[in-house]
Amino acid sequence: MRSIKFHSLLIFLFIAVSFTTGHAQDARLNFEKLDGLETRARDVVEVNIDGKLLELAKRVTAKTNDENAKKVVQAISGLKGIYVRVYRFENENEYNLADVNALRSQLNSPGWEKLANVRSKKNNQMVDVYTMFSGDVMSGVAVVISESKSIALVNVIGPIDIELLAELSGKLNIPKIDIEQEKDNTPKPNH
Amino acid sequence: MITRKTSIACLLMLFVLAVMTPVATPAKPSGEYKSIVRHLKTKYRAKKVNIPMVWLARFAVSMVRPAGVKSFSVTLFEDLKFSRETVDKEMQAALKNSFNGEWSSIFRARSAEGQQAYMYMREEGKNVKVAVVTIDKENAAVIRATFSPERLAEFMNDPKIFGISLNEKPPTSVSNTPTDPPK
Repeated sequence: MRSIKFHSLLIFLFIAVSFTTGHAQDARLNFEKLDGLETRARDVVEVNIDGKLLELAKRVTAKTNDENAKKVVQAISGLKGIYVRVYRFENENEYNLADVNALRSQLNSPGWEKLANVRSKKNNQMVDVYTMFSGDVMSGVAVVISESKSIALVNVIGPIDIELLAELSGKLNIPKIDIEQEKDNTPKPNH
Repeated sequence: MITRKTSIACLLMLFVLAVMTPVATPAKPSGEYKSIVRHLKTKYRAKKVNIPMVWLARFAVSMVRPAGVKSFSVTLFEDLKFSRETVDKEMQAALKNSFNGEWSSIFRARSAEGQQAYMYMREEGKNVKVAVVTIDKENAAVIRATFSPERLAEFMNDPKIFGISLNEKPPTSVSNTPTDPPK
């Protein structure tokens, strides 16, 4: 009798631990809650680049001779998915703020950390950048951009090599990103 | 001297080879493709636009396989009659019914002006199938293509059709040209 109770307790603990860790490591946001935005929006753009497509892109790019393309493959090698939603509205503040807050509340759950937030009075712009780490490895990024007439959400799942992407900025149609390199200590000439 | 029996046997062998060679036979439109075409035709009373010589283009693609494209199907429609408020939901439901779980929805866009675009993809062995459905006001297009990713990579490295290079410069094994000016 005692052993049955002990085993039941062990099974319960195992299920509880695996359930919580599974959720803690999952950087995928639930976009199902955005139906309210979808119905009110004038224009909608939805992009779902999941594991299959990323694998395909990696396979194709790995076989090309372009060294920069190979670096992109290296930078995105661990990625599991990229999901984008853009909603544009006809009038200002047409959307229900509660819909956006429902998404932001997902980002307040354990695991997510707010990396940056920008507030601008121009167009009531709010930009929030969140990251999720599994140990020392970045396991997800979420960006929420809301303006008076539009909302954009980006969810990247999997580790991203930011340094490598910074190195590739300005090449292969990747926008130029000015990130100060720690190694670059050489004094700049005065003009 | 060639006997009658030998010549008949040769002819039969040629016939069997011609039937069995998949290169020369353009792939027939798949079930999901037909289903979407039917939906546009029946639900929105769309009129099919005749594309001249498309069969020849399909045959040529199945033979030449440019950029790894093995086959394709295109159907154009005009005079679609739909409600802008409901068309996206109707199309999403129709696409969900037509494309099974093996297909991934990659892209979807809709605008208030009545423009819709949907893109689906699936892997089939070594090949990849892509399906695109676009609606622009009263016109629509349904496109399906099957391509080999490996052949596409080869084409990207050395773009040529029928042995004729589309590159201005001769292909190099590795491009190490620095994009930043030297310091």
